[in-house]
Amino acid sequence: MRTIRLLVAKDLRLEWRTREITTTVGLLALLLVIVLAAVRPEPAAAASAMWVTYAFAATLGFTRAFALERDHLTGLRLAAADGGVVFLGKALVNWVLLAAVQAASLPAFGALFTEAALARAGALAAPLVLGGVGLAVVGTLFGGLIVQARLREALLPLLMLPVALPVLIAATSATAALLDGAPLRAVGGQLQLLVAFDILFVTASWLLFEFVLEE
Amino acid sequence: MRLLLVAATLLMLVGITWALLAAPTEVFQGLPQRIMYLHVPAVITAYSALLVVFAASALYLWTRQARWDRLAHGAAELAVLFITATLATGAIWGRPVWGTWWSWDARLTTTLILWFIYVGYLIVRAWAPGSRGARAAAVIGIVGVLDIPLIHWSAIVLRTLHPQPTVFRPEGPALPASMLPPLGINLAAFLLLFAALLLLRVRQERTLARLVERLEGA
Amino acid sequence: MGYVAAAYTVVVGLVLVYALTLVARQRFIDEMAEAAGMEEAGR
Repeated sequence: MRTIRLLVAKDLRLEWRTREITTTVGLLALLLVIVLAAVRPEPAAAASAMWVTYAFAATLGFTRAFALERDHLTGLRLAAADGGVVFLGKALVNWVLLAAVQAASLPAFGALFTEAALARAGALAAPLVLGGVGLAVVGTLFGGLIVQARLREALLPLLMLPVALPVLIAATSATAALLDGAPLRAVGGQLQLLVAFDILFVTASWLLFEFVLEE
Repeated sequence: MRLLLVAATLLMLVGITWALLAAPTEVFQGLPQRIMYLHVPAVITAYSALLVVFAASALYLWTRQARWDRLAHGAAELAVLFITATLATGAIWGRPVWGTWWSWDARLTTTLILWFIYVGYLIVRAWAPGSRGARAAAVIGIVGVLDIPLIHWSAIVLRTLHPQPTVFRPEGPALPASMLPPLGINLAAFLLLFAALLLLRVRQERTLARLVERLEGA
Repeated sequence: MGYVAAAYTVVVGLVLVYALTLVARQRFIDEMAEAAGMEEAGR
């Protein structure tokens, strides 16, 4: 637990000093919102626009998270002693960054697509958090897997998006229903799927990460 | 091995001939229904191949023996081949019968996404050789199969043209008895072909590994 | 009719192409093995 906290604090401090990921990913997200809104500014398009934006932002941000660590993987392993711990730390950092993008872009969706994005922010938090965790977990697992590979920036979305598709489908459909004014309990099925996905993939990645980090 | 290949080919010729000439024509769909004799065996073979990938990947991570890795690699290649065959025959069958090449049904979506996941698997294999690539591929091979029920679940939200299973059901097959022999023969032929090609491919990789070893040793 | 023909052609074609690449690869490996002086490797 302490190790996880230290790992997360280290990465967040590093990010706070350089603001590399936040700047690039934040700008990309804003740009995507504007492009998508320019093409189709209807409220009906809001939910899919949101998740397209998050998925793009995630794939860009997550390749950076491990690039940082490429030359120090052994050190990281020795320090943390357990692959699962490194995984949890990295996934947490990735999720915090993604959640920041989600929170920061919500006003843009509110202004350009539908007011409901802000008015229903409380209910929207459920799919945003559960879906964000799913994306962060899959992204961290595959990001760690291909740190050393050539062309990893191209490879990550290729691997991550198909596997994360259940997250995107369930989260988009839940978001769309909530923006439409449905109560939270109307999207129980989608949220259940998101929870199941998060649990399955956290467990699987936690177990498999030992093999991912090996030199 | 050669025997296996010959047997698979002969069986497939018999199966295809039977399916095209001897099997009855279905009343509602007419001729296109004969595509079933390829579509169903192909999809069963594809999913069997994925199970082999899953088991071999897990065994590789467990034992670290290169032969499990070669088995997983060969099976993944064949899985992509048979998934491609499934999607192609499915689309060609769907056009005349459903009036559309594609629908976002649970099974279709799952199969398509699996195609993407395992093509990704092969790309990782191609770009990251050696034991690191093998480990990365094994993780993807395991995760891809774990993802199957979730993809299926997520796609059920979008409801469905695809018929429910007609062959493997607890109540027994719903197909007329005259359609079963060609289907069974083709299924056996596809599975045999899969086994034969898999053995060939694995043996090839083994020779290649030995060759590399020999060259590096010299 | 056309649909059935197309489906059967696609499947047989796919399998043939895969089998032929396997054969070509086998030839190449055999040549390499022979050049490296390996006796009947892995048969």
